[in-house]
Amino acid sequence: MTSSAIALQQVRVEYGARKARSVLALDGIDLALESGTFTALIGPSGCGKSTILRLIAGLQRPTAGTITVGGREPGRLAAEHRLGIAFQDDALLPWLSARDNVALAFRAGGLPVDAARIDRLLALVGLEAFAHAYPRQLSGGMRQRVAIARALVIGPEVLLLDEPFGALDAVTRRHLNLELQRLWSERAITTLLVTHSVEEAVFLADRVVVMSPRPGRIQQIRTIEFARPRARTLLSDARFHALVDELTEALDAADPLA
Amino acid sequence: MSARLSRALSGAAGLAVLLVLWELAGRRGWLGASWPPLSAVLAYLAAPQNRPLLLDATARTAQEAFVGYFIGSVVGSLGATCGLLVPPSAPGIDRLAATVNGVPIIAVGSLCAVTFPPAINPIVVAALGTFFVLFVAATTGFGAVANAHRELFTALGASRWTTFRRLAIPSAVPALADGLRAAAPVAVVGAIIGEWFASERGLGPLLVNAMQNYQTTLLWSAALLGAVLSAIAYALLGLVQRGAARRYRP
Repeated sequence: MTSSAIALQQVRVEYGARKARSVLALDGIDLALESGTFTALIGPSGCGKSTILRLIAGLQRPTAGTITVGGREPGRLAAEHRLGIAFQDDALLPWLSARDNVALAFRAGGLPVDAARIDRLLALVGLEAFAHAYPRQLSGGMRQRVAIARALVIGPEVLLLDEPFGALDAVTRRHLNLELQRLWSERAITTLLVTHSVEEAVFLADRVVVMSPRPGRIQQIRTIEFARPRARTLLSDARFHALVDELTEALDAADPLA
Repeated sequence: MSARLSRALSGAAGLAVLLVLWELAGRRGWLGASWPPLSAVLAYLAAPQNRPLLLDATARTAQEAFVGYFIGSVVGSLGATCGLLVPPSAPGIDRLAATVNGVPIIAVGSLCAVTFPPAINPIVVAALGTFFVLFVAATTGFGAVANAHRELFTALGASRWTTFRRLAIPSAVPALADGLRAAAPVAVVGAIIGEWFASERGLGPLLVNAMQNYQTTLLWSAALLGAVLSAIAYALLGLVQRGAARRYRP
């Protein structure tokens, strides 16, 4: 298996760079994600965390600096169908059933459709009974499960999650985090999760990257030592809460305007 | 459900008021002698001796409108597709379509009449009218692809062709269905104008003859048949449009 380590070096993103009033979104970003690790990116809105994810996905180019995935340019990952991605907007196609939306990950890439794997993923996210339902017939939580299944079905080497549960209620969100943790523990994929929720970040990640805004910079990187697989009980652990509080304070300090 | 019912009822009430006014205007002569009451027009339409002429004309126009509509829809959609798949061609196609649409349809009709044989002239005019509506609808539809979906396809490593087939076309379906519906009356009007200049059969020549011979009841009958033809096509395509919206809109 090829390496799927991700490296960002001195990355800078500036909007309207040639105009008088340019906006510096990211500056001096150095970040290395080792193969098979789970990294969470937290920070106040506008700190450029989604931009980092988009750079790695190859959806956007930096103004300066380099980004490599497995030593090569990030666009290659998508072109070779080795990338799984889920956004806050589930981005399901309204005219396809849940099952066909998952199958789209194969079809869009021109890959042979692995029906057994689609069924397995739908079962893993608890939607086998809704395989033939259309997105409009599903709740927000169910739609996000389909999106997660779609991101995982091709067995990606890199998984990018941009607040996939951001629009969901707290209960559904916690539930999906537990499921995601279970899915991820089965096979460690190099994962980057962008989130607003410190709790979510600490529960899921090996490392939490805290960012500060205007311009977006990395403020600190915190390693999370809790053993895997992590269970629901971790959520009521005192050490877990202490860490969440500490990082929440770091976030507050990161945004002087908040 | 009750909102739909009340809308249907108020629509029916509006139509009823219009028909009653038409009848009264004809009977009382409010708008002069050339305005026949609705009952006289209906009686004319119902009279067995008039039926072969009216039916033949309507069928003829419907047929021409349909063929023109079909050709115009295909060419319009293909034009927009070409603009999408070969981006450098987009501005040129766009301007050509705008120019075609900029010429008044009556001028298009007379220009075509001196260019094409009478038999196909109505089809050409109907096709030109439909072409522009579908071109605009398809262009709008292709542009309606959600950004999140576009990025998803990029992230999945989809080729240009796959993105077109699996994303752009389905995303355009609601706009295309709107366009197909809006183009139906355009095709009927185009066919009638095309007939106007050269044909011997169809609603167009019927209108010309009736007008020149002061046969006002026949004139109104032919006009009413043209309107009914448009309305039927519009209503049928409304079903298609609603079905498309239900399935393809988020």
